Amino acid sequence: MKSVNLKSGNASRVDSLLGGMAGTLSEGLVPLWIYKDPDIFRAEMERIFARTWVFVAHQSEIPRPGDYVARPIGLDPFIVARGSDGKVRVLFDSCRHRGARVCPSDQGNADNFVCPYHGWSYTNSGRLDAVPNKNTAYKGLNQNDWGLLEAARVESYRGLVFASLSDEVPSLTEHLGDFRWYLDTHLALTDGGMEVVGTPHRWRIDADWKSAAENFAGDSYHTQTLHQSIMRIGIAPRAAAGASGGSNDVHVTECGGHTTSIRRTDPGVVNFWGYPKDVARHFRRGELSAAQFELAQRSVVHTGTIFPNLSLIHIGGTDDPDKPMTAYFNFRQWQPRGPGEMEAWNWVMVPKEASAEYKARSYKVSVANFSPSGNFEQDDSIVWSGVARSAGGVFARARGVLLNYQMGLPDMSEAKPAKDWPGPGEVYDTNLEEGVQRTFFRHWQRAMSGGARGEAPEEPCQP
Amino acid sequence: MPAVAAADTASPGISRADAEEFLFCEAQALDDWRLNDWLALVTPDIDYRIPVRTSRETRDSDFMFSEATYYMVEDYGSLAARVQRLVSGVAFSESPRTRMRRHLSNVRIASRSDTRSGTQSGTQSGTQPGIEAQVRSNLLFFWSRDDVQRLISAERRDTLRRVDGRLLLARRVVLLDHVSLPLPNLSTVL
Repeated sequence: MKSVNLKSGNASRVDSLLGGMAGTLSEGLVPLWIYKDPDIFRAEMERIFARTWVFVAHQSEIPRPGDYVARPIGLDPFIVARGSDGKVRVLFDSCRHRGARVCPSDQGNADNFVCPYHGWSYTNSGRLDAVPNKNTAYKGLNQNDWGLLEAARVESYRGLVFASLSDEVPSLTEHLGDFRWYLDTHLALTDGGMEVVGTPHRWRIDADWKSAAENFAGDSYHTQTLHQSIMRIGIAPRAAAGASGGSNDVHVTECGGHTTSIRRTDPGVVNFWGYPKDVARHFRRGELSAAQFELAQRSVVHTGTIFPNLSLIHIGGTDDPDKPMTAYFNFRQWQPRGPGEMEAWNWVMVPKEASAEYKARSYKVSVANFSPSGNFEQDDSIVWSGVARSAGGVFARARGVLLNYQMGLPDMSEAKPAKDWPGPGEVYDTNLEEGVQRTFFRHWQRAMSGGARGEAPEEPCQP
Repeated sequence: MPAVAAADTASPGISRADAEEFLFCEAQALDDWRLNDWLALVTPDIDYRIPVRTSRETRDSDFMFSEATYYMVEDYGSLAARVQRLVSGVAFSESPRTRMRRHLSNVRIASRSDTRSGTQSGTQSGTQPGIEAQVRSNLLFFWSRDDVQRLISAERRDTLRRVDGRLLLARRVVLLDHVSLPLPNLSTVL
């Protein structure tokens, strides 16, 4: 897939919007209607999801040869399969004969994927293994030419498997860039790293994938209002879920296009997101720098988004005010399903070395807070649905409605670059700023305009 | 199901009519959003689960329902916290309230047990002694918010326990007919 060009007249409508967006973005203004528009959505599929690295699975979901999980990249169905040779491939779930599904299951272990239509059979590495009546009906067929098609690139970082449908991408390492420094504070804390518990939650939200991606990118401002019920019943630490603007809070507003919001304890106070001592005893510096390990020690909550649609939240809380707080850690993927329509996927991660009892406890607390039934998250989907609702009509476009993402710009607040911050990226000394979301949209605008991912943005970072 | 019919007449414990009466009243409390009344219908050792379902090859059908991952995995304390939040007045997922209705059918007694004497015949039992019935039923859950309507279909596998002459819910497993929850959020028990 060398290039994808939109040739329809609607592409020019998208291009004219994008051309005008760079200027308004630098003023912190984002058009409302991009949250629900068929042309924007189609362009996102072709210009973003077919052209950059997209998360597909965690290695711990497919540990054994033959293990597979079915996963979408944008709207396209793929099988993430560990072949009998141990290598992970991302195979297009479409028989080369007529295009039917060869993998109707969500997950499992298989030596072969057999098309139920005419019986073409593929190995778990995608090779066309058997064709019924081959010797009489398909004598000249070279089976080596008719294996399942693969994503152009598959690479992983500390267990996170990504695929790209385009081979014109930098390495995954370059794509993640300096953001690896922050990812490592979560993923490299123990010898065994983090592993997925069971199978991910999936649920449909009548909201755009961008609403969730920009929220997790670092919307520290909403918790005090939208999630006030959490504080009222006492199931989250005030430091994690209360009002933003604390003196130990920072926003990493630009780090290779990825962003994170971090709340910390006072210097010297070891918290590790709230992991109990019998889990935290497994945490060690290992490959981390002293600064990374100190950040992990002081961590209260991190949220973040890896462009385009993978998010994380690492936080503490409880499911019951009479039970102790504990830490939990989720990866999220906001799967686009249509204009203003997504399916959310949620993976709960636990340190591999933790006890089975602790893993079950952390899982339970995670479900109680961040899941489709989560006490926090029940409320998020409501407001995101409202965005798609007002975006999808005529008024938003006809009036050119622009949304305000100006918090943190020079005449709005005192947000300043954090002094002596030991990590990479552009970092501000407060979470009362929206540079994180402006970064998300700046990279969205560049990707939609055909700009290569990972390049320095044209607009200077604000504030 | 002849075995069930036989059990129905052989034991003086919980009848199907008793179970239906309980389930209908319980559904009414939830549909009416009388959540504290609903909490009074569960035992202190309630075990409530909605396992994640995946589509599996027929030979792997035993693994359709995850034994590790759940849309809800609750005990009394976590259910009580959910109720406290939902009635707080600032739970925006239920302000205004979702319109919901539980349609129950196919109620049948799967087995019975009596744990008062330390002997039991049932497969699942709570930790408190009592006369219990394992009840299976079908649930069609209607959900509506704004102009959006959704349905959830599931089988419930419940353990009802008679405590001081009253039936209470001691265990519920909700087996969804969905691999992806068709709702933007799950702000209620099913």
